[in-house]
Amino acid sequence: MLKRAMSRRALLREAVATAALVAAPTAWAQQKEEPEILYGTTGGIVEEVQRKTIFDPFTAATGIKVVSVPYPKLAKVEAMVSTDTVDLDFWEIGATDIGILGRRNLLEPIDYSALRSGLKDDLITNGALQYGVGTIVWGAGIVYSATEFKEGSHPRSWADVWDVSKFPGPRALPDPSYYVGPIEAALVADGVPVDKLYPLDVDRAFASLDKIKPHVAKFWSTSPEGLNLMTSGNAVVGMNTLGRIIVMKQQGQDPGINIEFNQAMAKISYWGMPKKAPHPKNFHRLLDYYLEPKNHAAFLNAYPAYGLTVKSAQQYMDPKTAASRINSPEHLASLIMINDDWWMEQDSSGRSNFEKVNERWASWVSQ
Amino acid sequence: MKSAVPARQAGSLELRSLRKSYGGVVAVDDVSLSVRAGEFLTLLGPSGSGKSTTLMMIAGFVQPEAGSILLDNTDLVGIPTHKRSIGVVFQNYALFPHMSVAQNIGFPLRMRDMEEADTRDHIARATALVRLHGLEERYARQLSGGQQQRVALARALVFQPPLLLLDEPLGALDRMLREQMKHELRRVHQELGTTLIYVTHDQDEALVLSDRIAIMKNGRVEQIAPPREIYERPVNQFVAGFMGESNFLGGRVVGEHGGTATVKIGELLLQGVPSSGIRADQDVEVFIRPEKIVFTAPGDEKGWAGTVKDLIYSGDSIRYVISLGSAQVIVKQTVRQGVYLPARGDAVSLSWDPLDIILFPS
Amino acid sequence: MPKLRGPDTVNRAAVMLLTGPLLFLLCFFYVPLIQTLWMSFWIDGVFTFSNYERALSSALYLNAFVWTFELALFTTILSLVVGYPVAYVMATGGSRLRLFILICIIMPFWTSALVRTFAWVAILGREGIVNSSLMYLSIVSRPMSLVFNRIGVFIGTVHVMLPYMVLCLYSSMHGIDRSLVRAAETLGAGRMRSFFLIYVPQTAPGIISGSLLVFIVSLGFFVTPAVLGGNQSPSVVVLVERHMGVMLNWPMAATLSSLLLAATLLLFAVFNRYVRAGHAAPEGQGGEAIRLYTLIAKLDQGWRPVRALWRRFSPNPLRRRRRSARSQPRLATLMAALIATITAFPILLIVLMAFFPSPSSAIRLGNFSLRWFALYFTRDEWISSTLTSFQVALVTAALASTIALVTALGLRRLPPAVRTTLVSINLTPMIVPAVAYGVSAYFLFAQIGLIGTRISLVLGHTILAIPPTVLVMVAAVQSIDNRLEDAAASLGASPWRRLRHIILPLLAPMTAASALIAFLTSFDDLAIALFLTSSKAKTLPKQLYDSMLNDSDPRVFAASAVLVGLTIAALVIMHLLRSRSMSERG
Ligand SMILES: Nc1ncnc2c1ncn2[C@@H]1O[C@H](COP(=O)(O)OP(=O)(O)OP(=O)(O)O)[C@@H](O)[C@H]1O
Ligand SMILES: [Mg+2]
Repeated sequence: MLKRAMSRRALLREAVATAALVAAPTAWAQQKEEPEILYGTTGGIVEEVQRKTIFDPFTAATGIKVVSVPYPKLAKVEAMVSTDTVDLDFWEIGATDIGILGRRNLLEPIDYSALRSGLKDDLITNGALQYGVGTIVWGAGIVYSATEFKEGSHPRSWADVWDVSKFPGPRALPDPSYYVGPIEAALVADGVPVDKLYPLDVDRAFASLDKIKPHVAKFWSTSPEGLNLMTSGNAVVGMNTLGRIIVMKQQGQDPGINIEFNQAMAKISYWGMPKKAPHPKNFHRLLDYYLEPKNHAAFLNAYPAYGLTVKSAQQYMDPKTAASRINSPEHLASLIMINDDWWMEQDSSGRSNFEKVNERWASWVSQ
Repeated sequence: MKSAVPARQAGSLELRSLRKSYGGVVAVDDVSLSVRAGEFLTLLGPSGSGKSTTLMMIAGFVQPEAGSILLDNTDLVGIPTHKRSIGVVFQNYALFPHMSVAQNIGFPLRMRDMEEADTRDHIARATALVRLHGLEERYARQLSGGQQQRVALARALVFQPPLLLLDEPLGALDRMLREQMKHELRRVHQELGTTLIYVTHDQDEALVLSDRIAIMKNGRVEQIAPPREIYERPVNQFVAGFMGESNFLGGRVVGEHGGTATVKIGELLLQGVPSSGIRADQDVEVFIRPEKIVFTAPGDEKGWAGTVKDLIYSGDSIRYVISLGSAQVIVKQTVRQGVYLPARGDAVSLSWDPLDIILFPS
Repeated sequence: MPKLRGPDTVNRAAVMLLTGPLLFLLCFFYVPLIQTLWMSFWIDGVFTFSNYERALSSALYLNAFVWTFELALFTTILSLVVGYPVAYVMATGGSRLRLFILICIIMPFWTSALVRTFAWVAILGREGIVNSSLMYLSIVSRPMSLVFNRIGVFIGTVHVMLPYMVLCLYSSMHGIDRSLVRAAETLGAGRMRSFFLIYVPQTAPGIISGSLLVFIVSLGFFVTPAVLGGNQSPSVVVLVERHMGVMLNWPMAATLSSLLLAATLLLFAVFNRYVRAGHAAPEGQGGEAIRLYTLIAKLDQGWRPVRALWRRFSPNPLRRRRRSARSQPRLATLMAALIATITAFPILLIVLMAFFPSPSSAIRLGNFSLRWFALYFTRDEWISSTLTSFQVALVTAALASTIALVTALGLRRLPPAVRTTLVSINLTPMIVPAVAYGVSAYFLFAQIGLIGTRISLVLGHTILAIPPTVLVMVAAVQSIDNRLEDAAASLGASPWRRLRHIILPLLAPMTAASALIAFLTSFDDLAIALFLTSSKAKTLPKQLYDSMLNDSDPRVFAASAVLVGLTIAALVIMHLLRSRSMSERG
């Protein structure tokens, strides 16, 4: 079933990746490197946990330091590569970004031969791409006001979110320029089974969105914006990144918002390396270290909002955090895995579904 | 001749116990005076004596602390400036830079929503009155100082205010232009008959233009009277010293009888001086104008003997500085054929009419 | 014998002064920008106009252009209306009031656009303080829609544009002769009419430069309309950013940028042709005032019937007296104080929230905590980015205000047509979407080896700050009375000494204002920082942005609180020192 959802293009890409692996011995294999790695990051809590659980032990073991550099926009990556001023070894990106950058030859392929053997099979589906290795799974799902709805009698599905008579009050949904969109939610709310979503029926999705639109306070475009809609009382139910709320509660903040894992949407984040990155060898050593099941689990146990990408790490996972982990076995059944391949698919004029949906959205939303 | 803009009949002003202070400084202190309709009153006084403040209270820029301002028997205190209808000409003219001459002059008419045709008519007559033909479309920057002054005057007159206030309007002009504008102002006043209150530092202006002059000092009016009276019969030493030139000699009244006194100045004795309000044995200042003193033939018994220490020539007259032993006086002598004009170092004898002398208590 | 002001001397001086600034613009702005815009004609190595065809035929893009200009236009008009009383009170009120207003109106710059718009959402929203108070007072029965529509957008945009508008207006009010208003009153003009017919026209240069400035800055609004607006089409910069940052479609981003630039320049040309040109003002000075007066006078004329009625039914004017009219607080003062307070309010809310463990617990005062401040002061990323931002903004302020001063002096006595063209050349950096310039600048600095340095940030920010500072300085220089300089020349002062002893002292207050604008422009920039920051030089807005997107805690509030505190302290100390030295002198 997942196989069928995967596009021809993705299969092709897998094939190319394998071919490249066999054919070209990596150019950087012999080069000498300073003992450091440049990590593009926005800083904050995630990086703190990463440092404690991965980078610091890694540095202790290898002597290679992980240096933070600003998280780059895609345009900056292209500018860096084309002017030979790459100040970055790796950063966390989504599959769509990998698609765009890879197509323009701005990413260095991952050398799976430099990583532990059997890793590719140990990664979850779509976890091992030519230009990126899946390192975490994150998700967005239903969020609702804790004061407005009691736990137990709260919206439990997208159909509930669409049901304004049963769950009255304004909604806060993302617009489709965000990583995970309202299109999938609209289709599920309209009765499309979770496993038969792709290829998305865009017409049906907009028809479903027509119904909820009058009750949407605002279609937001960044996750904190959506959260702010909820905490300020402008919306009582909607969609948002679940990890953010989990972390807030863990830190002892009270956002006044609860989450529902049923029909949550998940995406894989990857570590990618730009072309001409200064420390490719060091990066692969770090990657290998991090994808070691024990190390992978150490990070995820310390940051329970993210899900694993290394299947064998499951045995080391802290059972106490299973409830808050997006792709833990108990949530897996109703999880919607976002299919980035569909979004990146281009028509004959070179426009992707992502572009087309956003253009259609812009005229739909302002009507 | 028909006057350009017919004046309103009324325009009498009365100030009653007007008072204003800034912080600790009393700027105007208990000023009372009344101005007849059509009168030309000049306020004269040293810098800081409260002239402008008085004017500002009349115009309504400044609220008095006490007292009242009656224009045609209506109290103006508390009435905003724009409802008072009092014309004001400012020292810097305050012409609106973004309006042409015609627009400047037409502004007060516009404020009164006068009809187009009437407005044009009034502007034309006002420009004629101050002789500004042909400059109607110019802007203030394109005018000379005198022309700007005329625009300011026309603008303040065009709406026929019963009362016109002018605060040193000629201050910024050169001497020639001042002279010319002085006569212009006099002519306009005579043509219109508007009540005028005028502030100046120039005594000539005050004497030439005014029906009456008010001398101010430290926020008070010292004397208010026609020019001639101010000049010839000053009520106190300040007024006497402020207006024109004067000689003051310190002396002592040694005898007083029936309105005349005998005064001793050093060694010299002066008899038959009018002595209203002066007692015997009182220290006094003896006041006499330099032009009231004449030279008599040298050796004249009755005259006072002195020596010419210095002389200053100023065209129509010569001022002599004469030393009289311990005292010193100035004598002003008109230059005319047949008049005795001594030289420096000459011994001279002086004489005067005792009636020209005024005694002020020291 | 040297001529005092012959055409040759003027041109030579102008060329000398203008060469430096224009070369700066050429090297650091036009060359890299044109390289980027040139991409708009290429698709897969083929020269084509198809991007333009697509942009001009798609409803999405056309709507974006319409909305962008509408946003800029209304923001400009509203900023003018709101900013005017504020500037007026700053120009006429006491120095303490001026300080208070200044502190309030620059507050929005001490936090990131995301944070301040979120605060507005909370304030104006369904359960926000405005609606709750109105409902508590039973003024309304249901919450009003104050946000997620045009109202919200314009509250948000005017909030940020206020300092730009106010500083321009203030510069033109500074030198107005108060006796003109008095004169008007003696001629029968009431307060309203003397204000509108006499005072306002004199401020025409400030109104024009302020409006121009706010207009071009508003073209670049990105976050504010997106967060506070309802379901409207995205603005042009949002699309440029999406094409460049998300889809790597450079040609389309370049196409949209070029179109925005072209449309704006066209608009300026029309504006200059019909609004500014053709006045009969002497020496080219004061033309704007005359035009504005003509306009207002026409409106005033329209009120005649109303006034006639009023006169008919109102009692004898000499009966209606106002006791102690001048001592009561003026309406304008109240308005300005209110506007300033409203401007500061969202930021004060943010400051307040920094003291609580989570935003929603701010109501329970028992939860008071300093943990976010501790985070701010112990994390190197916060301290160093704050310091970097201050360094970069200070150097930018010095550089940009110098360039603007020199440019304005160079433009001073040039013919109006030449001047207008050169001013447009100086305004362009703000019309081009900042992301487009950010990318261009990256390529440039990469070629000359400045990538990752603070110098590159300074240069980039200086380019951004040139338009506002040049606008302010050109207006300031134009308002100098030429006669003063001629007078100095007649007293034997050489051109250099005239500049040093007459012109520069007269321009000092506005040079300071332009430096402040440059400082704020640099301090608030995110678009360029996204491209030019490196591990060695990260600015605070970038750090705030990262933290906002990344951390789910209010440490950004603590950062804003620190900045607000620092600013207030700095300004108050400056004020005290100045008034102390004044009182010592006299
Ligand atoms: N706005 C003010 N604040 C404080 N003191 C003032 C103010 N205006 C005037 N004064 C003071 O009030 C007194 C009278 O001032 P006023 O301007 O009336 O004098 P003036 O007779 O017009 O002097 P001048 O001939 O120099 O114009 C002066 O001591 C002056 O310093
Ligand atoms: Mg005075």
